[in-house]
Amino acid sequence: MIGLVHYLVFAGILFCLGLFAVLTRRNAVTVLMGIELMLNAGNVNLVAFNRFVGSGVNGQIFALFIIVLAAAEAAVALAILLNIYRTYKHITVDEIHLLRG
Amino acid sequence: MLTAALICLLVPLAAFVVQLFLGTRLPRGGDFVSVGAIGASLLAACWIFWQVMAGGEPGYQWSMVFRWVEVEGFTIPMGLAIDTLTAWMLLVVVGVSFLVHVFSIGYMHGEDRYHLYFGYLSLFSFSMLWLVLSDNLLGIFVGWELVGVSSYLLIGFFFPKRSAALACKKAFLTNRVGDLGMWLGIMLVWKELGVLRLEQVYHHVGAGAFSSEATLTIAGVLLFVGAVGKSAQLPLHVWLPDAMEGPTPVSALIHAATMVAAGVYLVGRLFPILTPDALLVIAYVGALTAFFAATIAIVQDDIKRVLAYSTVSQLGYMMVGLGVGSYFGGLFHLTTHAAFKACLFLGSGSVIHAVHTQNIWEMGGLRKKMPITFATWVISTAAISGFPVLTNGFFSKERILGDAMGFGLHLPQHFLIFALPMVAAVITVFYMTRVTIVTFFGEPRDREKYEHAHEGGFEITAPLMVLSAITLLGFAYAGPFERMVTPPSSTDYAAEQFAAFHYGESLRTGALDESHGAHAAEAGRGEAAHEEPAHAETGAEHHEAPWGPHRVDAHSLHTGHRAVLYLSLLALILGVALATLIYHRKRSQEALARRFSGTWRVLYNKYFVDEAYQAGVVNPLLWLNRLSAAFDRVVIDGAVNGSATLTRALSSGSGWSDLRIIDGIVNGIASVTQVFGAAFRRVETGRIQHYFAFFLAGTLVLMLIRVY
Amino acid sequence: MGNTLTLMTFVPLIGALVILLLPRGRDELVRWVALAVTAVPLVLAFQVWSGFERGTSEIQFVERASWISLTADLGAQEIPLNIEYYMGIDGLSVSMVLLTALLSVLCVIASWGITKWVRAYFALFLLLETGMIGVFCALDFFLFYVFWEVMLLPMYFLIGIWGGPRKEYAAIKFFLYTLVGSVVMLLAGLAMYYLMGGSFDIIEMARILPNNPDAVALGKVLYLALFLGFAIKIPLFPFHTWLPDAHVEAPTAVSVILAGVLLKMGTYGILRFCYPIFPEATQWFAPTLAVLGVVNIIYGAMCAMAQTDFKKLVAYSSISHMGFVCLGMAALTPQAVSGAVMQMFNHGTITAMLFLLVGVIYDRVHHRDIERFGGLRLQTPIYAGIVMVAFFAALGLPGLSGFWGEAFVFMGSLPSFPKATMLALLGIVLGAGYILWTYERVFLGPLNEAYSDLKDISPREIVSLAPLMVIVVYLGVYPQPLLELLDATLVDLVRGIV
Repeated sequence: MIGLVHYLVFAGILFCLGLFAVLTRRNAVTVLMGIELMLNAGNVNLVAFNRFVGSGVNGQIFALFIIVLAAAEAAVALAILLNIYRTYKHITVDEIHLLRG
Repeated sequence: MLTAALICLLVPLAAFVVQLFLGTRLPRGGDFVSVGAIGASLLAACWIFWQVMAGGEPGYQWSMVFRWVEVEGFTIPMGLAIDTLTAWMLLVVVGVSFLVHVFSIGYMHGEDRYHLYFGYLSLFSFSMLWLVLSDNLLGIFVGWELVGVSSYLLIGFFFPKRSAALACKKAFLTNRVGDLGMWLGIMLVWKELGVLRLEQVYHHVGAGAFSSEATLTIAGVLLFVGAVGKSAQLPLHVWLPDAMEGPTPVSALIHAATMVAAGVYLVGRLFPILTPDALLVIAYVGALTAFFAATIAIVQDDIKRVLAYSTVSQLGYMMVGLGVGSYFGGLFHLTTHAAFKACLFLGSGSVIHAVHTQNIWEMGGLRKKMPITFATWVISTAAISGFPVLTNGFFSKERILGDAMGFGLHLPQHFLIFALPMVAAVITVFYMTRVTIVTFFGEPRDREKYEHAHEGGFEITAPLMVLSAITLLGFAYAGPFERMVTPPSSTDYAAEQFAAFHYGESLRTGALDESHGAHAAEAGRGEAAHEEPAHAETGAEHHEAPWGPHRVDAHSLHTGHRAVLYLSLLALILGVALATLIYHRKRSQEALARRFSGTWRVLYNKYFVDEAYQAGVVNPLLWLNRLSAAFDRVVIDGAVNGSATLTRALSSGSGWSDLRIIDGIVNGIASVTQVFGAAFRRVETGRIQHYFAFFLAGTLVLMLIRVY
Repeated sequence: MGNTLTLMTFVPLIGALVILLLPRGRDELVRWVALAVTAVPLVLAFQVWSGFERGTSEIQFVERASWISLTADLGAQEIPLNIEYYMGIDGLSVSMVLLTALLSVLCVIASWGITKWVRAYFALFLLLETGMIGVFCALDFFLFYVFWEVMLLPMYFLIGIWGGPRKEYAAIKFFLYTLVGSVVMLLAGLAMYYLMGGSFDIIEMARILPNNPDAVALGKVLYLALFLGFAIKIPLFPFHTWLPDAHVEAPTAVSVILAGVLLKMGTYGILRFCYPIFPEATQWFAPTLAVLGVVNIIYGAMCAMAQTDFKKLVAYSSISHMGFVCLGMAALTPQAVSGAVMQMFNHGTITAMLFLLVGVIYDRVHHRDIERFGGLRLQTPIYAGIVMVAFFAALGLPGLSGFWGEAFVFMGSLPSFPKATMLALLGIVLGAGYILWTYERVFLGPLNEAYSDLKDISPREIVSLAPLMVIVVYLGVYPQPLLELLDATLVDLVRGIV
């Protein structure tokens, strides 16, 4: 019988993979993919908690919101990346450090 | 009456406006506008005169009051008033003005600004008529100033000449000094009485509304100061001789016949409110003026200047007359003087027009070339010398001297008031004879000028003839004048003040009957003679004048007047003889001047009065002006700029402290912040993943804190 | 009818904005617009003048609205902050409003020759007009102060930008002087506001404060504070030195406004604030004011006589003439105070003429040194004639308006201050002295050949002078129309003090 713990562990692994990708990858697209993983880990958690702990469909609705937001965020982020690419001819995040103090 | 008065007054004003705006565009410079206007005025004046005379009562009075300023705070009406004196003055002013207008057509022909000249004459006529017709002191003052302006404009008519420019300024300023006194007098009357209409002023003064008699004396003397300025009395006489820079007809009209007589007219108008003390001041000023001006006239070379000083001297006579209470004498001399002095001035104008010089030593022998001018000149010279019976000057001058003598005999401490004019009478005859001889007799000194000389046209000779005829007709109007023009002594208080006047009156009625059988004048005087002794007696009996009871001493009176007659005749003969002796025998003036060089120099320089004013008044004033301007620039502006400098010094001090101390603290804080900033900036790598890692670390730390 | 004063005040402001929006380079259009805009207040002023009810001291054409209303918690007591938009005129201000509106139109005509930054010039000028009319209409102290300051700034720029060689110095001097005055004035205003328990209403102040013991106790100090502010504007000796500088450096039209309107604000302010609100202090101060007035008359005249700069001479003559106003105010008799206000109006017209006339000659020869002229009457007879009218009006010739103000001042002040009045009379001789001397040096005598091709006055310049001449002559012959406007108010004012 698959219980709540399984879902949480799965989500945790997923989150860590995403985090790992965000922190270590140089390619901005990969970083973005990592962020997507992290968001989806959160989604899994929400749905799981709703199924096993809460009642109603609140969790699912939050998940849906996040999916929509993630899509929008991805679109905006990709647009930014495209612009960065146009300017620098690459999308290596290490090289983009204009905000350095 | 109102219509006539308004026509008389306003038509010349309208002519002035027309000349001012349209003068250049009208044919002949529009001289016919001004002449026509004054002609209309003359007709109106004659009509008024006829009405007044037909009325026949001495105290005739017509008045018309207009609402003028009428507000809650105060009310000042303006109005016109006509009495017998006004009627005479109107006739004199408009009559002389008309003749001068006519004369000017010939005299001013071809001058620049011809139209303006006639415009100014019209303006003058209007102002003078306003002065005469006005029924209140403020109105008189307005007219007073306006005649001053017209005089300024006309004296300065030849303004491209520097001397004319200076003369008109001097005339106006000197008059302003006199006006100052007059204005103060008017204000004093206003303060004390709260009214300015003459009629009301008489009434209030009569009712004793003045706070004290001393104040009334002061008011009277102050008002007289105005007359001193306008009538060129000592010490404000300096402007009149200089005013001869104006065109000669103007000198005849303004500076001999009418405007300068305004001062006398004013004193006549104020007669009822003048205290004996004030009258005494007037008499003294007049006597001194009559004498000193006459002495100056002896040595002048400019024909117009001689006449100018003669005018000053004659105005002094008028003042003496009024001052000793001879109301008739003073005012009648105004009338007669207007005629013969205008004639003399126009005669001199005719001469100047002919020879183009004003220096009598460049003339000579002109009687052959200019017979009409010569004849009229001699007639008016006889009049100014007081030639008995035939000339109008006789009636007025003898009266003044007679009354002055009575006054002097009665009050021996004031004998000077008689003595000075008496001596001046000799001098008058002397200098007039001198001018006549030098100008018209003997050999021509300047051949070329003599050859060019010729009698002027009809417009020049006609006024001369008319004026000399009037001069000769003196006996015809002396009587009516005396009968009609009586002092407005309508109130008891005024009557009391008029002891002096009554004294003169009684002198006259006693004297004239016997002394010179002036038959022609007799007829007209008949009626008045009946009333006036009674009047005079009431005056003498009921009222104690400050200088003692005025009981008429018949004996001293008769001897007095007879003595005056003899003295005058003596003066006439003496003057003519002396002048003939000196000047007809070709004894040159230089010889005489050498003989009395000191006196001559003093007289020739007019007692150095002008120089004294320059040194004593003008220069200190200019110096004071420069001083105050410097004070303004250096001290006051210095203080202002100094405070600005001080403020700037203070601000630079505070600027320094700002920089070093306040800013020091601020900058200190800033540098500390900078040090920390430099440390912390290392954290800001600009790499997003580093930030993310920090964020993660931070979250973990927070979680750990939460858990434990 | 209900908002005439508001329209009169703010139409110039709107006009200024319109002018700023006009396209660059259309200078001629700008001038015509400015003329049209200034004509509006003039028409309205005539409307006010004809509709003004004579013979009463009531405030007329009142407009009232709450403007800023708060309650301030000031520690112990709560004072409501109540500033009103309160406009209205009485006999004191109606003639001033008329004068301002008229002079503004004439100044626009006289400014036709300005070529530097035309839009800015006329916009500032119109702003100035708003301030001036507002000052004379405002009956709320705060509102008055706002207009007072609104006026200051355009004046500063008009002198500082379009002025003569020392314009910066003159402008800053004018600005600082006036600012010092207005600061002190504001302090006094605030004090009055607290004494009133939170109201800036001038009319109420005049009704309540004379009976308020605290106000009476403080009266002298407050009087002096207000007085200082106004004395600088008049300008009274020794606060007068900004005036010659400002006048000499300012362009013609601005000099006209300065002398014609701004100086009057000083005396207007004294009559509007000091007199009705602090009657006791007024009586206490009257002798000093009379002495200051006489000093102004004599000292101004003497300084004028020493000047060789035509414009500076006229400036000092203004100081002298404003002395008559002060003397008349100090006398505290209905006649003298009426004379003083008449003198304010008449001096406004006469001195405006004088400055315009100086401007005429300056535009042609570009200097104002009296000594370098001579005989100009031969070359420019019409100009010389007009100058003569203005000069004679200035020296107080009867028959021209300048006389009556002085005459009534003298007649009214002789009973109060006989000695001062006699001294002041000297001023009319000195006045005649410098005026005739100047006329002689400039216009009489032989023609100075340097000016043998000088052109006579142009029609435009005559248009700017003619209305003033008509007024000067008309009021000189018949001063009743002016007197009846102001008399009732002033009689009440004097009655309230004595």
